[in-house]
Amino acid sequence: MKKFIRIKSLAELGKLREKCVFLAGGTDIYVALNDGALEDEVLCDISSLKGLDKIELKGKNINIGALATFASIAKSPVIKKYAACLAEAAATVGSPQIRNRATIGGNVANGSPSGDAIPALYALGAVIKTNLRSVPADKFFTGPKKTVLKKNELITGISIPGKNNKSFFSKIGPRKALAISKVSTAVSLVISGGLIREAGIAFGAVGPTVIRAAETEKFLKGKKLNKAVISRAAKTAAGEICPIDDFRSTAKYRRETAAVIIERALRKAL
Amino acid sequence: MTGQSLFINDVQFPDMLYAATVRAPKPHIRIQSIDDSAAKKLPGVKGIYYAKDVPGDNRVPLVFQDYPFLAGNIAKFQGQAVGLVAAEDPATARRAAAMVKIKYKELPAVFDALEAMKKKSPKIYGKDNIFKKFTVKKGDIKKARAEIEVEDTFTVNYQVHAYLETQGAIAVPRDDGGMVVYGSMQCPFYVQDAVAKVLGETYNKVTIIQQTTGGAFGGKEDVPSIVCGHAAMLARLTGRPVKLIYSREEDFQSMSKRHPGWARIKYGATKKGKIVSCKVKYVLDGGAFATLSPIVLWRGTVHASGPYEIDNVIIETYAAATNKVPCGAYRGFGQPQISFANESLIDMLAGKLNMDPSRLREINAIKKGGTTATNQKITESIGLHKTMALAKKSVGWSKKWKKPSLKKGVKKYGIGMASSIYGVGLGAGGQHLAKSGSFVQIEPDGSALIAVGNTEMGQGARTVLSQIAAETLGAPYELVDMMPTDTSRVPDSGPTVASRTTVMSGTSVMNACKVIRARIDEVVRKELKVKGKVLSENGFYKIGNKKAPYAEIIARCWAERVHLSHAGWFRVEGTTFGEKDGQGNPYFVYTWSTMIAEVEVDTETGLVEVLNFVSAHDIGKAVNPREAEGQIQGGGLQGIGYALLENLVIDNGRMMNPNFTGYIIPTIEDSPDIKPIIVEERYPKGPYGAKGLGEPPLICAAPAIANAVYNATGKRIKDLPLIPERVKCA
Amino acid sequence: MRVSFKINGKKVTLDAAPEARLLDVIREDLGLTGTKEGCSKGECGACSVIVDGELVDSCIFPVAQAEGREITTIEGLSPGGKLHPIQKAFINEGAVQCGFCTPGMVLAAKALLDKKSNPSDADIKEALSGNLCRCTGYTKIKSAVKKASQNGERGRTKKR
Repeated sequence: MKKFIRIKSLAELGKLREKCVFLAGGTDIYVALNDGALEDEVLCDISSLKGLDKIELKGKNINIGALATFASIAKSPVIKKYAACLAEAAATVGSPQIRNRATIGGNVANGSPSGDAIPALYALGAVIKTNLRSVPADKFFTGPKKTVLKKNELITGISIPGKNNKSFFSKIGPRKALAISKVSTAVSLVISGGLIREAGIAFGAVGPTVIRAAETEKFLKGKKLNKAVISRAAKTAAGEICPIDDFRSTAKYRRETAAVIIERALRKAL
Repeated sequence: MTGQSLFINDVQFPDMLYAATVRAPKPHIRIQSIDDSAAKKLPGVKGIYYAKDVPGDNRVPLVFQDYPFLAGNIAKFQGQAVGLVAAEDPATARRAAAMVKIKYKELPAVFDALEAMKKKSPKIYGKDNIFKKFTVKKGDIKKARAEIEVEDTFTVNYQVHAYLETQGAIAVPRDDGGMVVYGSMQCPFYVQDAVAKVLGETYNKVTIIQQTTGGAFGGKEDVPSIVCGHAAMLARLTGRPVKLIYSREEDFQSMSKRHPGWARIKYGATKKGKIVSCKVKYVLDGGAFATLSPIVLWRGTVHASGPYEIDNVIIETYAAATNKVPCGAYRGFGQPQISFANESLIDMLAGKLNMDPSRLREINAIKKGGTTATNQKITESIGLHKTMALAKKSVGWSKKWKKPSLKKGVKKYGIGMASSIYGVGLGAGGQHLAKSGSFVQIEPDGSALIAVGNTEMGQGARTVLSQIAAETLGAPYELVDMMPTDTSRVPDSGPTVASRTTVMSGTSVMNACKVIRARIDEVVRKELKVKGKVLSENGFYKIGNKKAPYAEIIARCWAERVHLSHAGWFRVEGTTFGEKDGQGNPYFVYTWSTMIAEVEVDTETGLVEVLNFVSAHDIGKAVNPREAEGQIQGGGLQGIGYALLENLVIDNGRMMNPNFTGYIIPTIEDSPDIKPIIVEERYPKGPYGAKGLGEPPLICAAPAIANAVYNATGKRIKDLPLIPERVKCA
Repeated sequence: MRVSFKINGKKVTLDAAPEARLLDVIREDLGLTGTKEGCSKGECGACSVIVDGELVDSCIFPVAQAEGREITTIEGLSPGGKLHPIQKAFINEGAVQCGFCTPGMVLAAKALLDKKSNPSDADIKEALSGNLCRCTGYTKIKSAVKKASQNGERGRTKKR
């Protein structure tokens, strides 16, 4: 690491000359530092930016500050009500120690395809807000650990449209805690009059980025949720992902269990 | 507990340097040149040293002495130590080590034990890549009248000890030219040997003191010889104290592991379920150097046919060399691998016989007067049947066990059982080490200290040995304490391994205490003015109904200048193993075990949940039942991890997951409550009837779970671990 | 960089590299070696400490962010050598083997019991899920935390 600086207001962002790596809870950055990485980087500590840890309902939107921790997201009544899948995902991140420190902004900025919050953000139609612009979650990631963020562009928050939805998150990891997902899924359905009006479905850890199951969403729209529809949806979804073999799991297993967990998640909505 | 215990990384010496290791970048290389000019220029770097700088002998003194402290021209696995850096702070040492450039030519490498044994494979050890081979031959397998046979092949992967404290040592030069080394270790006398060799020093100039050790499980048996040897070498070359603490990654990459293995087994039985023959071929992947592989293989060999009475047995075993991290000791020492194979196959035989597998085990379990595969007659302390009966009763086996074909649903329940035989101590394979020294002294205030050559590493030796001393001396337990193990206090007592501490050091301590106690008893008789047997109870000595307080008697002894200290000694004789046929009495006594696992298998995801786990052991006598339970539960969970989660991946010699992020050990959320059952079939020659316990709680855990998964799903998985990818696809 | 915080009830001010890990400052600058390093990745919990009531891994915690906060390490639990009820329960239940994970484990239990005096088994499992132990199999750790909570409950009822 080359230098350590700290900013206390968003206004200071514009004055930064050197390219910075932003530091919030440190749960990714410090693991890299301990590994001897980031040697030539300037670290910019954003943890004292005021007001960025809030979670609030504003008008029809849920606004989550980039510095909100997973512990606070997991227990937030607003999130539980309007974005249950995000609360469920937050509760499965790492361990209590990690959830107390890791922020949603950091999880998004890190851009890992297995980042547990991200499928929920896709499914809920979230928008990522930076100091410069707003980008829909499913347009934000460009590859493994790659995002549209430009030099010194900072994620300031997430905005989720508040809807009367049913949403669920499910993941399969190698163990029950401290587990990096082998496959994860988030589902959000808006159902009225017995029909699915809106569907958001996404998968984690089965492609270079989190993957939105657009075909499956289209298939579900306007349908009545029943066992046959669910099983068809699960099959369609399994065709929309592109998992790989690595030391954590196999492509075959990921594809097959993706179908299982999406089917189970959809059944919960019955 | 309060943060006061000092582990090696918590200790500081004035003027101390910090070390880091330069490691081989590829699995098999010829080193052409090394450029450390940039690293040496880094401010704070004190020196960088290589094989040519070793002051004494560059060979680690283990079984075959084929492993150099530092690689010379050839390095045989990725991560092998090539050089050592000493610097003023740890970060600089690590940075300098990373800056050393090794120029090399890659050599042909072999990564699979069976491949390595083929004629055309690249040779990395001898002419055939075979470190060691054993044969056990009992009866005549050709004459066995088997009516039903089962035969299959099984494989097991590595297991990593994953002790929470990584390896570490501090070497401090003595002003007389000698060396004191403090470290996290199981076997201070192995380390003494290694440090003396690497320095070219006599043993009396080398003192090894065990620091509080943060878990070991076999992983701190042989390899601390390397870590401490490196620290000592740097301390000698720089003339300053040197601290060497491993990072988690390098600990994974370079320290010992449980061997991966391959086994083909065949059982033959009568239609009524009497097993008449057993044929085993068992191969262990030893890695790049022999280290302890020959004796790990030997223990596996002796126990390879399981805890059953079988008249005709042939066992052939091999440890082969590959270009991977050297494997060594890990709780169970060659037994968990083969236990997975033979206990899985026993279940398959039961299936073929259309029999409850617990019944098949009961029919064939060794009974009093029966013989093992080496034709050793078991005449005492045999509680195998009891462990089976109590474990079955505890879970309600007879009501719960049903054939797999009767199970329905997505989530399926299964129950499985496995049993094991475990030879306590080093046995004939290590008879030269089967001795144990101790020193016991009662101080004028009545407190007593004991020193032994075995170590405490969390397994409870300190408590158990203090209890044995207190009991024998008649002293209150609170007044007895065990000193940190120090090679200058007691003579070479062999290693702290193989569940041998209670029997070996326990008997040695008891022997010393008996001598002191006889002297105390004389004083008691004089004080109480009566003759007869002196008993002790609650801090009093008594004869009949007359009694005197412990403290008073000890004060009296000191006033009369009675000698209240003694050096104890104990050795084991009479273990044998035939070179050609493997027949004989390899161990002096056996611990017997049975485990039962209840699982629920999610057949769609392949995830296995352990609902209940019962682990029953005949250990002769539980000197401290709570510590014994702790061993059973801790070993049991390591076994469950081995069965279901732990999967080290080495791809073409490169370790893919050398950390806790990728190598998955159980968290509290993954852990069922483990129910210990202790059976006490007294071993008359053990201290208070005790045998040994450390290793057995792990040995047959994996097959118990594999059998339960089979019972749930009707699908047999023959490769460990039972990761969901296998359970689902099986 | 100058940083001030309260540790085990005592206010300290010291100079540290701004990127320094809280773990190193605790162990080396303050000499409190009860906090252990097991993995340097936030995967084992041996370095757990409590910061403003929340359990964190100090190996991935920048000391710069400790400014003005209140930290408890294992040394803060038994001032003057008097054992905390959780420590007593760990000893009584046999929940300690090698002892390396124990400081972190005890602090994880404390962080839980400070918030929830009567936790369920599931609460205990969740609260301790970031702390690896390789010796005990966790069974006795679970019962120690349970016992500590019951003793704590009784203690409170008595006072009333």
